[in-house]
Amino acid sequence: MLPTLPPQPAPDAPRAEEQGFDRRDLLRGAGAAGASATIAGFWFEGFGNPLRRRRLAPTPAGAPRITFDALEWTVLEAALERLLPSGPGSPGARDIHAIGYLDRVLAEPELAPERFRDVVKAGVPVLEGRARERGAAGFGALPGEAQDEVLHGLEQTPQGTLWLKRMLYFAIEALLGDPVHGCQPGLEGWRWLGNEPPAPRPTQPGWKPTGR
Amino acid sequence: MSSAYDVCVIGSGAGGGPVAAALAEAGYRVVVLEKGPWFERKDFLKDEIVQVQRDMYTPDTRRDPHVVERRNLRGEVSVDERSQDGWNGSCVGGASNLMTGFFLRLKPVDFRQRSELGAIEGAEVVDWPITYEELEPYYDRVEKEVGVSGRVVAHKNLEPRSSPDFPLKPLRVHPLARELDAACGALGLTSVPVARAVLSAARGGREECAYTGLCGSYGCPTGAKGSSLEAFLPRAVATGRCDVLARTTARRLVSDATGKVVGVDALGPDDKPLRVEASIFVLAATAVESARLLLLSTGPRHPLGLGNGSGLVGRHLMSTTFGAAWGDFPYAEYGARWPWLAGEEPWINRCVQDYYLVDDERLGRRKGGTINFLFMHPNPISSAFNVALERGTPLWGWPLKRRLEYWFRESKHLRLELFCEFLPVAASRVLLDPSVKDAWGSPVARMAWSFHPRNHETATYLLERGQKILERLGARHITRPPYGGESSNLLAGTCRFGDDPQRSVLNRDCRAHEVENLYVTDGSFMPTAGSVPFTFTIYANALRVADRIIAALGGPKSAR
Repeated sequence: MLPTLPPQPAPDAPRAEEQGFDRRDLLRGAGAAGASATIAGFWFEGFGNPLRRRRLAPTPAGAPRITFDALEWTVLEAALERLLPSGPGSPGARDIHAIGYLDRVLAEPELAPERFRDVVKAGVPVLEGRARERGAAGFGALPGEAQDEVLHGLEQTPQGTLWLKRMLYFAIEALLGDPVHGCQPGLEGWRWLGNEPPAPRPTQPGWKPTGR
Repeated sequence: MSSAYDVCVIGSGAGGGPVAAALAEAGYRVVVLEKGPWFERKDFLKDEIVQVQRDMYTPDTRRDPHVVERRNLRGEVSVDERSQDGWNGSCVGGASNLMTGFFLRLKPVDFRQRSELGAIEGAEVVDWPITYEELEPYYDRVEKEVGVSGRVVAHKNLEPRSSPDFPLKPLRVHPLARELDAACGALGLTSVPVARAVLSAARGGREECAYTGLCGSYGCPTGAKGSSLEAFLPRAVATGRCDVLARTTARRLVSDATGKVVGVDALGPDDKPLRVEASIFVLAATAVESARLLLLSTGPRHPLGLGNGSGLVGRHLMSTTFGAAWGDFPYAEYGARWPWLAGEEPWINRCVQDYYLVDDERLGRRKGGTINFLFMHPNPISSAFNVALERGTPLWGWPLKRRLEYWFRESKHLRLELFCEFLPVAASRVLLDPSVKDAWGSPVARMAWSFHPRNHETATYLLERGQKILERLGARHITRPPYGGESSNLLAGTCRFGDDPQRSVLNRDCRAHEVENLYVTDGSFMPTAGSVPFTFTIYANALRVADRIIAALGGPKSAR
């Protein structure tokens, strides 16, 4: 049995059912005295008008990198795998192509503001530096438990925590987003957690309604 | 642009759609200006990333933000200069596309709070210039015209009704609703079926609810949801007398030397400027944007903004005071007793209104609110991220995976939400931001929220009662955040109606006191907020105002 959570400001500081558990609601942080600063501003401020968005094609496994260089890819892929480890009976970051999804999403300024890309990339030298302090050639060369220790070390600072949250957010999108966006190609996340969404689902790669 | 319009409606959501339908059906030429695009059912996909996690329904905040200023209970101020708050549902049909159709009426006391409950220091509580009885026929019309499903159950705060029951039978509910009814009964409370503007049976080209649970924040692909897009605008368009101009933003109302509005300057698709002329103008662009437009629309007779001689335009911005709590029903513990627990029926559809009026030793007699029960929203990305952050420090790795399995596969999560009185205070307001401008050079709206301390006090009282219901029902791991703040997707106030032009912006017909051909029909008119979501009341009032406009124009054309 899991322990009862202590009363605390909700991560999704609550909002009305009427007109939505909207994006702000769901990505909302606990605000000052609960008067709720938007986490939309924190996470997703400045997303573009959908009308002007370019289409996002799916990321097949083995597709060329767009956002990351080889080192960034390797380090972030390893970090994502610790955030969402693969295991028997449950998919992990590798199974759902989380690194490919992240690489793809961060290349789209309309889907993730440019500074997100900078923040995500800024984590790479930090992880590499801490790995070297431990005598490893790099983060990717550390054993899993040591990688976890490095990542937990990030929780000691607000910037480190923010980096972890952003990485985690995109990992979760890759786990539970529609495969049309280039993640969980075999519906691994939905099948694991039993929450495949109902119809109608998007059928074209990157399809976004623009309306009349 | 044709100048042959009788009525120009700015905004196509809950305040605009009913007016457009009623006026067009009465024989008048109507044009509706809508800032956002025109989506159709086929656009409303169950794609959480695009439909919910990004800004499909909000303008680009780099070009078109709101500034949001909040003052917390300790007096600390925070400002977000690029907020999406208050923008939700920028599309044809407005935010009514994204509601869950939670349609409860206000009650007679809501129209007479000052008379019945007295003055409150620090709040500008007033009676409405109309009574519940004057609005009741329009609530009744909305139930029939939009198609509201539900079942009337007698309880101590049930408002009078002219129709004995709803036109559509209630939506199917999860069996946990029965247990909730029993738990409330055991506590001496009445569990009331929630009326929904969601069809329980097909009707007029709209299909019945698909019971997916992905309702709030999503547009409705079956047309079951009684949005303005589904329930009103098609009626208007079908007359052949209503043009809906999507992607057309009103920038300024132009008034002449007599103070009358003569036209709207707007930007159409690709920022093409146009002027729309009409005899009567109806503003329904949300309590935030309607106030902003009035403040921007100065004129020879309106130096402080259109209809703003009282200085009250933008004042008394309100929402509903929010609160929530939730608890789990683990299958391991409850599965044998409640074998149906894991069933996927999405609706609980129950609320408690026993505390609509509070009479308590400590708090005295005061307005309370509604406690609504529902399952946690099934959006997987949002749910999983909330699970990851539920303890503050992010949860990741195997502990996160284990927690996700519990959340999604091993338990149901029942939530309660409060809709509690939000007292009107003059300091809570919309004003033109002194420095931030939109991409077209106009000052953006600054939403400066201010909260009367009583909101918090009453909400806490209701949350404590709600928690007792969850406990009685047997919920485990109950989480009750201390205070939910406001629910800024529900907006009201800013142009309160009243009989005294010094103390209100609109008259009882929701016509500006100072402008003979300007009406406001979104949530702006409400001088007090009541303790239910606003959409139903906005619909009903918009139909009421439409009748006044039709009368002002000389009655229905077909009847002449």
